[in-house]
Amino acid sequence: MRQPVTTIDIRRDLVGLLPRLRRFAMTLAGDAAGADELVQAACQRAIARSNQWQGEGRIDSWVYTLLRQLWSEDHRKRKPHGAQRTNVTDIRNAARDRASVVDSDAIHRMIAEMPEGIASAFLLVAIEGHAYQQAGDIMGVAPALIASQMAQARLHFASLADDTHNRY
Amino acid sequence: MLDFKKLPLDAQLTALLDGEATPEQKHELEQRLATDDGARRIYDKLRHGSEFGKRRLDDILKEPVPLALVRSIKSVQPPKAPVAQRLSRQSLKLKPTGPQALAAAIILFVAGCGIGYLVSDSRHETLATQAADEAVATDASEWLGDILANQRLLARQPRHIVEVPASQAEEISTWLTTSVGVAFRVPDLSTDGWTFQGARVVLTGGRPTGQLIYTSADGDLATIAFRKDNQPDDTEDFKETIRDEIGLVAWHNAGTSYVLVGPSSEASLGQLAMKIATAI
Repeated sequence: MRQPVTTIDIRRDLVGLLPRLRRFAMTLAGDAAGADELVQAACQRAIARSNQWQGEGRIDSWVYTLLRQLWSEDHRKRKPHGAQRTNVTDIRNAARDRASVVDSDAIHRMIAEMPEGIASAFLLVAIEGHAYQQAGDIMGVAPALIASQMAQARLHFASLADDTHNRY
Repeated sequence: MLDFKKLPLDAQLTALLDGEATPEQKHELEQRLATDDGARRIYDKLRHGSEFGKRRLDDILKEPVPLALVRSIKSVQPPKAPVAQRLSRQSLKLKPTGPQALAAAIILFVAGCGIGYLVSDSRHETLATQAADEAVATDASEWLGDILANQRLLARQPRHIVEVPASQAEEISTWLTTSVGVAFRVPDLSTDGWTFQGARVVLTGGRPTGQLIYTSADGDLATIAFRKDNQPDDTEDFKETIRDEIGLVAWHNAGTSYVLVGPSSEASLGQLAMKIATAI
């Protein structure tokens, strides 16, 4: 029998990354349907360009970059970020007690309400562990802007958390 | 490290939190935090916001990924290896003399006669080989079709997925070896999240086929099926096929065909099949 050959099938890697890709896309698109559409397009592009992927570095960073590029290319066709603006009570409802059942719609609304780019920057740095330079490369902005966006994101989340604390 | 000195204090403090400040900036900011209550409050607020934001964004990971999205990605065909461009060559001018043309014609005539003789001799053999290849392909297609149908049947009767339970290991070994004619070991897939539940024997393409059945904590079903057959050794191993909600990875070894059947949303089905191939 021939020995199993270790092959790099980028599709498997992409499927494994899907929850995180969707989350990043959510910070760009602001809604689940738009995020799924964006992820599908980015994965198709990644597969089509898989010959360019050398297997070095983080594949997630590469696909995040493709996602952001697609988002930028397609931005005008889509709804403006935060178009589904609701009142402040709706936003604050997104920050309800964590012990309660996760309300996906509320979380999506919370992200959609944030100024463009800051949720993505926060995700890349605070959660995904990218340096400012790497996050800037993915987002197509200068590292100094990432620092400002990180501060904005943290202060925004802090105000939501304070509100939750005061309400409950 | 980047110089964030020109940025507002909250951005400088966030750079400190993220380990992006230079040692000099770090020292300055830490001194300021020790003496400036306002800076300290901003710093604490930033930390607090960070924790809250992380929890909120982590909640998104709990949402199920749409199966349609998984399938759409798995069904995209990766590009073939790029074809190297041919180097342009200087064109040769062909101007044979009379004797050269005559010699070439004679050589071509003799060669043509020889090729004609060989082709007519091997034609019957070629037709026979083609027929055998087609039969093998049909057989393989039938086997996977039957395996797929069996998997769907088992998925619909979760309380009756095995004939002999995993607790009767010796019985499974003796029974399957004699009825299928293939010696095997039950692969331990517990580290991959699959628990062995037991075995069955079914008919696929008119031949007895052994099935080792596993379940996951989520209630998903995975089956290793094997049977003796006459597949050639050059069949493509570990090729993954997706049929809606079911994924199949087939391989062949020493006169035995194997297939791992599981949910198509399982991204590591191929790797699991390779592990099984060395363990079974």
